Amino acid sequence: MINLARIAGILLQGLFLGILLALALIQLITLATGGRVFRYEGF
Amino acid sequence: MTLPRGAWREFLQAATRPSRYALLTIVLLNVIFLSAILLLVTPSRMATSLPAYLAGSGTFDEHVTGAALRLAGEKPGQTLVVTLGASAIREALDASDLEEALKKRMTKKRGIKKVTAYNLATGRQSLYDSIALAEKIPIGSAGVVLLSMGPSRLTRPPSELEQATLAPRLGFRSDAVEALARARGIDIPPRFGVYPIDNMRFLAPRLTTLAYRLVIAGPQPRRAHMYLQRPPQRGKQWLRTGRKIAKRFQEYGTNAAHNFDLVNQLVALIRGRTKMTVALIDHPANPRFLREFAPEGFIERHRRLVTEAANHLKTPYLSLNELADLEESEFYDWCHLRDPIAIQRCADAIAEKIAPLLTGISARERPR
Repeated sequence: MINLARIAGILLQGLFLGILLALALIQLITLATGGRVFRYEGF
Repeated sequence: MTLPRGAWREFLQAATRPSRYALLTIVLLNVIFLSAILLLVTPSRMATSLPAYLAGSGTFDEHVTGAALRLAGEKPGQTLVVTLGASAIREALDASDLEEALKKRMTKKRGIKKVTAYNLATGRQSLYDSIALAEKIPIGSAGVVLLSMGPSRLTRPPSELEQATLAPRLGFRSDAVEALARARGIDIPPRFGVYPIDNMRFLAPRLTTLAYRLVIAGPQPRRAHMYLQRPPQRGKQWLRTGRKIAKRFQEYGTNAAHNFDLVNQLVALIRGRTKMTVALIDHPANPRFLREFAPEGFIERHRRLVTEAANHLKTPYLSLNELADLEESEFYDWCHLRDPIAIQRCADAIAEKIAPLLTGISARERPR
């Protein structure tokens, strides 16, 4: 029998850690490539 | 509805204990993210909807990237007015005001059906970024390029080339700027022909903003002006700005020659690709700032040098302060206009000057 509670738990863990990993990867790529956003307004 | 017995415990166990299925979900999710970026971040989307999702509040680089890519997509042989420069000229010359002011002055005799204006100015735009933007003007275009020659731009150091290539502010690669960088021994990342990979240095620092705007905040539309109707700077704020800019002017002597050299290269690039006239333009400067903070003789020297450059390049040299008769009360700070009537006057004054320079391209001349 399909255990919906278990599937929901696995998906929640996967989504939470998946998003964390994606954010970490974005930061890592940003640091590795040296790119940054410039905010030069005002002067 | 009641939950089956033990369902909560099962759920919590599955959510907190490591499992191969959870790991699979993590990997799958990241594969989906990556595929979405590779498939959905394309130059055509960058030219339309994406900049509004990549732009932070107060950043213009993403929107100008979009505008430049739209400019690149204009049909060859169009009559264009393209403005390149920093925030002072962005605030002073509204593209739609300029189009409207030019429309009034156009006659069918010149063979021009339509003039499209692009204001591609961004805060503290380096001349390297101006070169990259100018490369997006379609080959064979007619019209005018307004190139801002404010004194602050001419103080920028040659080291900005490294920044323009390695931490780019624009979401496209420039052959001309990369050629300059290679000549100076700067390693350029390879190109793979895949837009998000080739422009990863531009995209990566904006991906969190993209996620934030997609999920929570929604798109950030382009603002034509940042200083409109703001109360003018006073007191300590005014002093701080004045001193900061005056300090920047100290770099003029060291860096102006290098920047004039870049102006020569930029004009040659535009003339090599298009039939456009380049006009050098001095952005607005608050007369009070010039009186209180500019070193003695500095502005006169700057104007003399730009006049010499304009004579050498055989280009017009326009000064917005003189043409639009700008007053202290119309400024927010040392150079940014806050008054909508003054901004309209700038568009009218520039349109008056450049309308005679606009020429149509006959069907025979038009590139195919």
